[in-house]
Amino acid sequence: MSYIDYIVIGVIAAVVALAIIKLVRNKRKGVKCTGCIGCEKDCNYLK
Amino acid sequence: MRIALTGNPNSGKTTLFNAITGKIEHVGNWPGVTIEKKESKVKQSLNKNKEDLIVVDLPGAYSMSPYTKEESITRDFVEEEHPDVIINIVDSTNLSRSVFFTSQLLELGIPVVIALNKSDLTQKRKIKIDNEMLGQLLKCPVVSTVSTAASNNGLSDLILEVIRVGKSGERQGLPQIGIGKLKNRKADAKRYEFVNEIAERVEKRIIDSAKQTRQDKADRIIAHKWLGIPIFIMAIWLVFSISQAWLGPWLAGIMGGWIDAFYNFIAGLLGPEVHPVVSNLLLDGIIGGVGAVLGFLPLIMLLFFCLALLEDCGYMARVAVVMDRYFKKVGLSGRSIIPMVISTGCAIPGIMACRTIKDERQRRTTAMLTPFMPCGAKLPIIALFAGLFFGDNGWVGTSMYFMGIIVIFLGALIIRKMNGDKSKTHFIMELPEYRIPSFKRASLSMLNRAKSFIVKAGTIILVCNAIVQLLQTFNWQLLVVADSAPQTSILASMATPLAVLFIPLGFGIWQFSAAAVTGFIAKENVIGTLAVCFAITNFIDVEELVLISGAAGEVSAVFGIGAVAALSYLVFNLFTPPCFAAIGAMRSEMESRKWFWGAIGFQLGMGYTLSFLVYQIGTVITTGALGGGFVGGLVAVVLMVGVVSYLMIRGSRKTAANPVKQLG
Amino acid sequence: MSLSNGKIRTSYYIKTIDSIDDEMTDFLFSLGCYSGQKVTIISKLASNLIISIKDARYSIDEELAQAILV
Repeated sequence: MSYIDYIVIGVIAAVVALAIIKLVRNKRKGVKCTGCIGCEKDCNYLK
Repeated sequence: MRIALTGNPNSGKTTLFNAITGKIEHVGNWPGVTIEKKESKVKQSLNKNKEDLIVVDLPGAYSMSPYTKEESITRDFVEEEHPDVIINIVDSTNLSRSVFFTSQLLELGIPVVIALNKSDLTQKRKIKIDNEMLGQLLKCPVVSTVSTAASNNGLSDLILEVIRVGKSGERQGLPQIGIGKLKNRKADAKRYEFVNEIAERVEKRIIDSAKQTRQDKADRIIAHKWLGIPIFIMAIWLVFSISQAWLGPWLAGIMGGWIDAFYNFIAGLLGPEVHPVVSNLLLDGIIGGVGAVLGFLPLIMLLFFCLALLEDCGYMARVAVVMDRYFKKVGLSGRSIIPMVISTGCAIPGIMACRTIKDERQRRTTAMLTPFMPCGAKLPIIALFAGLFFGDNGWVGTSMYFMGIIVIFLGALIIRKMNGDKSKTHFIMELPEYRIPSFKRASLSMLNRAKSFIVKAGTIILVCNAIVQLLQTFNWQLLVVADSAPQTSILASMATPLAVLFIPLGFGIWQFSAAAVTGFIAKENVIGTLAVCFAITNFIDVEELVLISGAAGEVSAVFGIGAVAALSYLVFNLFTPPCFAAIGAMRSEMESRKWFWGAIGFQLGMGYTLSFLVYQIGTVITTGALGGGFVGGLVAVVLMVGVVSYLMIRGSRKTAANPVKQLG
Repeated sequence: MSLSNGKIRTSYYIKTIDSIDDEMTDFLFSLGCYSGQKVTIISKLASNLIISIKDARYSIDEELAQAILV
């Protein structure tokens, strides 16, 4: 495994870590779905 | 300063909220109720002095009646969070009803500023409203607004007034409604007397609103019991053709080209010294997996754009009217179409929208059946298979949606038989005015959705794809799997036993069962996992677009299944239980373990059965012989049908024994 | 008679709302649909009526139309 491998692994780990952090943050904020915030509209049909 | 925004539905509240706050939005949760609470800061251009102004968007309500959950949110919010000012948005074309709610708001003890919205419409219709007199009678400031206009819209005046009222701390006087000690209906009647009086004194109309207008004449056709249906079909077909057959794939091709270029660029950067496992993880697992999903972004954006236009123009309420007649036949009402329409975007708000259905059985039935409408996350799956096997035909998507509707009707019938129909439904739906849909709003909605999609791709899908890639690279001894024996990987060995169950459905291959399972985390993962398992970077290739479609295509050859099995796989993924998040929403809506697990079972059974039927019948039609695993699948399907039939028979016996009780 | 027997393009005054549960009656109230108020039938589309109450249009079904007595 050459040094490039370690760099790439580092990059991958960073990307994955960022992804997980964002997911955890979303969970804390209370976003109810895995990111598909299709509910930004106030549904005028709700009564 | 906290400002609560409230008013009747259809008064232009959302447009006003967006206009006041610009695009920044924080999504939170209401205590105890999971309906979105939208809170945002007033935008800079209206807030020159940089005051701390936060606007909270409350759900639309016709009154503060304590009987309905949604409307009690307003009361709870006021009591618990003490906003400083309330902006009551009033539809100026409908003073005689809107002020009912206003009068209740004025009694809350919090200063109210009235935004008299749709002032452009009142001008057009030559309705004259005396703002000053209105303000005097209600004892609060009144500002005319046009929330749909970009400028000259009264918004800065509104905010200035709000700031003034909020800061001054004076209590507004209470209007003399004269209710005194009257209660309930009598009090409400007195309140309306007051409202009628105000309307009379303040408003001067030339045209009688009860006369038939051009729009009413249009409605005679659009909401017609027969004609309404083909019109609806046309509308949906247009939406899907634009997003999936015409404009969509073309844009997606361009996007796919960029993703390919990025892939090659990174591959070049990595060079030959990088260990294949590592480079595969980055290139095929992460970039390939996420890239495959992102390639569909243009289609999703276009779909949401078209849907937003459709909803904005006011047509959707008419759809509810048309469908009411047919829904009644299966024990639901036109109300149920709303969650289903919302579900074409995302099933979670769709399921939450079932809250407004009063009857318990109807509510649970709708919540259970709503996920059968393909959601935005399932769109890439539809698009992929439509593109690969059916030449990007717009009819594939359309037919999946109509299949969804048919399955929903069937399901409603079955559930009604199982539980008996004791409800007496009363369907009432406000029909808002038709209006030219706002391209700006549709674009905003589309961009919002695009952002969510990209975030989702970069987070959950990325993580899942990375894990899948790792699982298929290594075997249980944590050694790299040989190229010639891919089935020894951890992923393959876990997925193969499961794949046996899918043989009767035509896709008993481990890659497909693995993809279907990851689909429960997010339906987009089906595409991502397939891409990772088959090492494909993107499914929408510009040059190979021609090659890809048809059985001789490169991609379909790699998959190893034919068109019939592909269709069956598509059907399976569309009609099984939705993603875990949506399942969670279903669970809180069901409020009953029996119903919840029944729903999951029903959805699993439906997915399996439909897929079985599609594959076997399709194979018979195209080849004259039955597909593999026919007997095993038949046994499973017969068992499931048997259980359902038993429950139905038992249910109808129970209903016959207990005669239907009349409500009130 | 009930609203379901009414003629289109005609206005009626509501006498009473019959045989529905309280919640619906209260809801109708908040729309301005109660005894003494005016309701106009705009069109009839099979079993659904389109009515106008207080400058707004609503679509109601057969059961509801039968429950509104004018």
